[in-house]
Amino acid sequence: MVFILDTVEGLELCFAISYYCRMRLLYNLLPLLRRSPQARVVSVLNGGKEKRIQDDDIGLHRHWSPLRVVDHSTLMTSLTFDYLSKQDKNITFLHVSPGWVRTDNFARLEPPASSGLIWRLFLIILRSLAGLLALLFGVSSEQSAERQVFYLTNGIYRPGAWRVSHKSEVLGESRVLDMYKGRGWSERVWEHTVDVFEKPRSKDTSKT
Amino acid sequence: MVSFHHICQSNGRFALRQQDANVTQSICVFAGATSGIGAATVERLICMLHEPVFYIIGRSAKRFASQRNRLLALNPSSKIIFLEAQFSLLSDVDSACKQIVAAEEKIDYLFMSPGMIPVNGPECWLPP
Repeated sequence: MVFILDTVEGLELCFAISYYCRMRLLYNLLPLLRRSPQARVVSVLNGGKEKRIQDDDIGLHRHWSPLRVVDHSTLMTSLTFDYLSKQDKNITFLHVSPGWVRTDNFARLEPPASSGLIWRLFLIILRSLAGLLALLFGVSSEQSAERQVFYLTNGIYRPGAWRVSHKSEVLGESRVLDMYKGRGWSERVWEHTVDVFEKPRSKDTSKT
Repeated sequence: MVSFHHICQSNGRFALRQQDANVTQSICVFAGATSGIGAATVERLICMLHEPVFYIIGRSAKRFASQRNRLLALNPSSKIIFLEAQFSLLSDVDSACKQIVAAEEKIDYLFMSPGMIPVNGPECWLPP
């Protein structure tokens, strides 16, 4: 059973934070970014991990699940950066994968008061597993920051759209991403995004 | 793969170039920088720039106070503006942007890393 929490604006919370609100921030600030001699935009999400999405439900109104929202945010970020980089040829857009970083994100994952026993147990297991993986394979947040700053300041990232792995490898072609690009989905996803931006919003808290 | 050593060297060289008096002031906007990777990235970047301006979008100015002090200690020449906003709301993002647009001519760095782990069912979890 999947519960969905919508914001008061009617967007699903995780989707809003990882994609729509980030793109709104970028969209609003584009005029100022254009005036910088070397503007850089970094979204730390999941670059390089593009997968097929629900083509008939871009906004996940009918098919929301925890994994799908990750897949949609990931592909949509890469496609949007592809689209915007063609409009704004002086701005560098980087979609970055952080990999495992030893932040306390998972450690602070607390079950909601309404949780049942099984959910509580699941979260405890998930938290321990994530903690173990971060310990074994993760880097410190300082090390990750060094890489992020490199993306912001190194000259190799010329204007354009870049996807970068957690080891700072520049990722080239991707079968899935190229298929979507070939079908004109960079424009399509941007149109969807602008539609969401322009949709009148009710401030009620009812859930879909 | 780009070696960590190479990355540190490149960042060091960039920081040195910023000491040049002719370098223009950098304007940075961060969302998701009150914890985790974002917070660490601001700490690193603020040490490298000359008289930078940082806009930090986050949920609580009160909770940001100690972080602000730490950042100012790292680079006393920096200017830090905290914009209180619920990042999950488009209207809050708009309000934050209005303040930036009213005050600045340009933006050089936009860094977005607000986090969430979409596993917590009805109360999709957010870092505090």
